[in-house]
Amino acid sequence: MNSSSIGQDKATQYLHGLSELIQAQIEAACADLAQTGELLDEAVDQLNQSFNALGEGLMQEQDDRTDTSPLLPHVHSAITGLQFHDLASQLLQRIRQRLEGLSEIAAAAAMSDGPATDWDQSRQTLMEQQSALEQRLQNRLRQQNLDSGDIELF
Amino acid sequence: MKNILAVDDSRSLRQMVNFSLKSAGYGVTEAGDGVEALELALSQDFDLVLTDQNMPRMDGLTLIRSLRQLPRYQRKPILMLTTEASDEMKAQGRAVGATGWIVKPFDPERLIAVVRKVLG
Repeated sequence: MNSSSIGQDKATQYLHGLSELIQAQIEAACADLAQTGELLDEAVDQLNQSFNALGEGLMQEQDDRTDTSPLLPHVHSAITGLQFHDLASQLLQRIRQRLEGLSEIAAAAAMSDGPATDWDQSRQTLMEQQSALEQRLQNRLRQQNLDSGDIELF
Repeated sequence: MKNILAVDDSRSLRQMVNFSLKSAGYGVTEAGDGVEALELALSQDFDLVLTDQNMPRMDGLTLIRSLRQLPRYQRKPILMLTTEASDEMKAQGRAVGATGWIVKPFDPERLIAVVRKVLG
């Protein structure tokens, strides 16, 4: 075995080790994301229940009034705010998809076969995986702040 | 009372739409995706359909296309309520027959104003 092939063996071992490390970290990050999503769902479920009870009380109060309740603007503001749960859940889902895509790329990198590896082919595969991931993530969430969205009638 | 079909796979979002429109005096029926909405639209006559785009089983654009093929819904207002905000998606909505496009999160007062306007 010459020094060149020894070097390539070490490079392959390093790549395998790096791939395993990346995949383990991504797996842990995905678990954290799932837990974050569950906590968010649970918190918003409780908020929704409270909101519905408050809303029903307000509607009953409204029936007895001739003017609009001063609480109504706050209820409307709460409705806009609570919708960010839906947007946040979609963003968490996108992060999970990105991490899974990264994990697939790391796994593919570990498949290299030392000196026998066709590096041009490997590079092409990486580019294809990156492109496939971006295709899956094409739809971007535009909302950047807590303002309500646009309305357009055709 | 005008009846509105609210379609969204998010239960909390449906609740928000339901509460907003009921507070303005509308009757609201909920559906969790396009397939359920189409079944409801075939069995009941709604005055307006408000639908999300990204849903399991059937998305909003497909639902609108399907509804527009039914004589009963050829002229009924159908509004898209979605996080999708690109001009390309809006153009697709217009092409399949959407009446308008509302980007989430919605402001209840503005939603009610638009619903009033399209219902005449």
